[in-house]
Amino acid sequence: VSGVQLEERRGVTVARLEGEIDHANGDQVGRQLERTLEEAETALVVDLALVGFVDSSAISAFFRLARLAGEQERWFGLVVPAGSVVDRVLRVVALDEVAPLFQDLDAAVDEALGGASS
Amino acid sequence: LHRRIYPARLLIPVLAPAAAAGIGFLLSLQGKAGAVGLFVLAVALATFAAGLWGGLVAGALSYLGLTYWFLEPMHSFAVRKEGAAAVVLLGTAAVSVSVLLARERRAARRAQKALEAREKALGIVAGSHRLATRLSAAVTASEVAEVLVEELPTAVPCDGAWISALSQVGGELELLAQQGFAEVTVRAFERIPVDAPNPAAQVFRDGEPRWYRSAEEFSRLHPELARIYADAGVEAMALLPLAVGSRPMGFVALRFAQPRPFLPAERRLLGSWARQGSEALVRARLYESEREARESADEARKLAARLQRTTADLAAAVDLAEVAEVVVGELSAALGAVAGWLSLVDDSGRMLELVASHGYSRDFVERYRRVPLDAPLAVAEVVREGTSAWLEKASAETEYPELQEATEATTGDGLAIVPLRSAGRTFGFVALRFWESGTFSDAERTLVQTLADQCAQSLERARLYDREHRIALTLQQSVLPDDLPVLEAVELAGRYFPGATEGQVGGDWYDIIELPRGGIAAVVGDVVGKGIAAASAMAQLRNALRAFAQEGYKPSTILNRVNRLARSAGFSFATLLYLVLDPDTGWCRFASAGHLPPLVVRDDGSAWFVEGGRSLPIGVADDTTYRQATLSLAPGWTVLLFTDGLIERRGESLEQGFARLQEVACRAGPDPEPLLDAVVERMLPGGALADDVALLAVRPVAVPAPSLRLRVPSEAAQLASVRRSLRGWLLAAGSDPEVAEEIVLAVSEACANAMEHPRSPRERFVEVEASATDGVVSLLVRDSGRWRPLVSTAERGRGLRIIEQLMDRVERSESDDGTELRLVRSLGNGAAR
Repeated sequence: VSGVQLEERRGVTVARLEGEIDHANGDQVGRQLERTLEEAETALVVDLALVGFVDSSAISAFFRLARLAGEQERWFGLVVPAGSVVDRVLRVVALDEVAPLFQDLDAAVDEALGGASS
Repeated sequence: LHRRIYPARLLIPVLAPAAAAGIGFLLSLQGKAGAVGLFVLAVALATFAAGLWGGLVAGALSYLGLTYWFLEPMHSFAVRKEGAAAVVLLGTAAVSVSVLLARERRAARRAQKALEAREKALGIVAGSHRLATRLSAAVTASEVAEVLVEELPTAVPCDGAWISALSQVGGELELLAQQGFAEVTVRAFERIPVDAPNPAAQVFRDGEPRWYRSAEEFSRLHPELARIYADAGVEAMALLPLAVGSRPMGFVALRFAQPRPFLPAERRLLGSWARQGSEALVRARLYESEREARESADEARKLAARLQRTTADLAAAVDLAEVAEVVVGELSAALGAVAGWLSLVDDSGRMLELVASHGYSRDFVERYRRVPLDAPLAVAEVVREGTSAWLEKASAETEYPELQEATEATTGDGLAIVPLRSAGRTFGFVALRFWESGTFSDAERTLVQTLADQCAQSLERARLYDREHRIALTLQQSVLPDDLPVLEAVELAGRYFPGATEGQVGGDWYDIIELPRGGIAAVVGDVVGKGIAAASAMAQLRNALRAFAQEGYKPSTILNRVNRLARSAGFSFATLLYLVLDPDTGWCRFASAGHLPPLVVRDDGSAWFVEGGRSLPIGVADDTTYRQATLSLAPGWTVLLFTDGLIERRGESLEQGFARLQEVACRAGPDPEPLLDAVVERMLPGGALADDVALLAVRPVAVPAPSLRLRVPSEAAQLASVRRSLRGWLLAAGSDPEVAEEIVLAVSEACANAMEHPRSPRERFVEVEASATDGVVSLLVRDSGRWRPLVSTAERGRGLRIIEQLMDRVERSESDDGTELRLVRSLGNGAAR
């Protein structure tokens, strides 16, 4: 359903996801993102702007990423359109307490650069 | 009458015999013959002066004197002669004075007798004087009549007196005052048509008094009235006309409980008093009309204004005939006509149809009800020629022999026939009959014509109004749906109330359109203006909306098109609300052309106005782009569409009106019929409404949505299709999209659990069932195995926690057949967390 597209923004790795993430692909997407985090130099931004659905498998992956980022001293954040279903779900499960949620990519990259340098 | 005794009058009888005696004395000097002559002369003069007794006494004394003189001739001639003369003189004088005094006494006695005789007459004279004084103090006709009723019994003692006079508007004799008559009599003769076969009316018509000395005499002359007469307790009766010159005013009736003759003196006296009364009556009538005229110096203008106003008032509520009735009545009253009659050219254009009459007998009315326009009649000629006719009685009989009948049908002489004209076309006439014959001054003619012209306008307006009103009403009735469609999925109720001027057709309407692709469109609109123009614009808008609706356009597009159509066709401004309801989901899309917002009434006792989707009214600007908004109706909720007449109230702001409606709706609840009943009862005052009002309540009925059943292989790849099916079903069941997403997530998690957790499932399938009732969704996710302990990993347990957070209730039950997870969630917005 979805692939992970990677790009660099001012030295920050951005993983762009698309479609729906559920138990069918959640583990795979999670593993891909973990690898990306390891490869990222300082920070990883996961962009969920084009994701219409996430379930607990995706959520678990994000929690895991947040934990790993902490262990590896890397910065990790997510971009979620405000008011979207995904945004609501992530806040319901309190993901925003372990990883910052942004409404657009530039804000996330700014924060990643600031957060990484400090 | 007191005769005085003047000295000069005494001198004549004293001096005359003295002079006669002197002459006799001079003659006696001539001899005996002279003495005899003297004697005769003295007696004659004394008799002349003092009457028979004076003459006799004077004669005796003179005889004694002369005898003395002739018997004693030897005495001194001079002395004897002088003595005799003195005796004669003194005697004559004394007798004359005494006799004169006696005559004076007699004369005084006679005078006294005459005086007493006159005293009696004097009583009447004084009565007449009192009558005159009181009559002159009486101002109104009623007061004059009261005076007559009180005073007439003092002239001729009677047991009852009655005064009737021609009413101000003519046509009948109305009772002004009476005393001593029974209630029954009063009721029977309170109003007598002037042409009635009644002796009183006859007296009025011919001016001849009637004297009935007894009940027998009356019964003989008027057998048909004998019974009433007897019942009234009348024996003798006098009926006298009240008239001035040849102009009859009314009549006087005197009732006597006993039979009696009427002496000539009594007849004369009563006649004279009746005449006095008549004059006072004329004067009072003049005063009354003068006062009326003074009260409005511009009586004619005021009348015209009154007619205009009356017509305007009547126009909405009454038909042409009633307006005509008013016109004839008012014209007669204003101009002092005794009778009047108004006919209009009928629809065929060939007949004159009598629309109103006043003061004419029923026979007359029947005879002239329909008159051919080409008839050789003065009235028809007036309409044909368009010029008025002013007829004296004489000319009426010679030039218009056919009018003799009309003339005889009522008392009165002059007849004015005035055409009723409008826009250069004569469409009828009004004929007025007056007492005075042939004396129409120029001023009177102008006044009559002017008033008739003004009446004509009122009448013409009433005619046009009648016609326009009929058309407008037909149009409006064609616009308002006879019956709202009966639909399975939607409950509907509509109301329309016309505005204050009853029958004045307004521009409000409502409509329900069944859409070809399912769903319905509800319309409420208000065309600016009233009458035929508004009704026809309304009909066009309604049809345009129906046509565009059939094409399946969305609300904003429909308003764009209707507006373009309205602009190009040039019909009136209108505000309208077009709302499309999908009864399955309760989703409404609406567009408002400057209309008031719809009110959503929920089943929990709340109600709110839904703003948005509003643009300019239809017909205002060419390039208006109409906006559209949505609202969601849960099953059981109602949306109320209405026009401004509902909330606009004098002395109240629109906000107050909105607040009042909201409060009423909250209290009434969403059931359409009771809701409208309550709204009408609380929002619309009893009686006339200032503006018309259209109301429409639309409610999607809570049809239980068919439940959803899914059976999918236990493969994670199936989750997406489960979500897709469930999402569609939830929206169709009326779920809010956000709520639907939360439910979809929960079910997706539950399915993932069911696919991954079971130990030794009998078959690798997962079943999902969903059903919705009353805004609550129940979901069942079932597999055929037993779940492994969920605590094994924190991450796996996260799915269940998400489910618990998103659902109102989560129940899990395990059996040998498998594991069931039941999820319950309300569709309302409130449950989101």
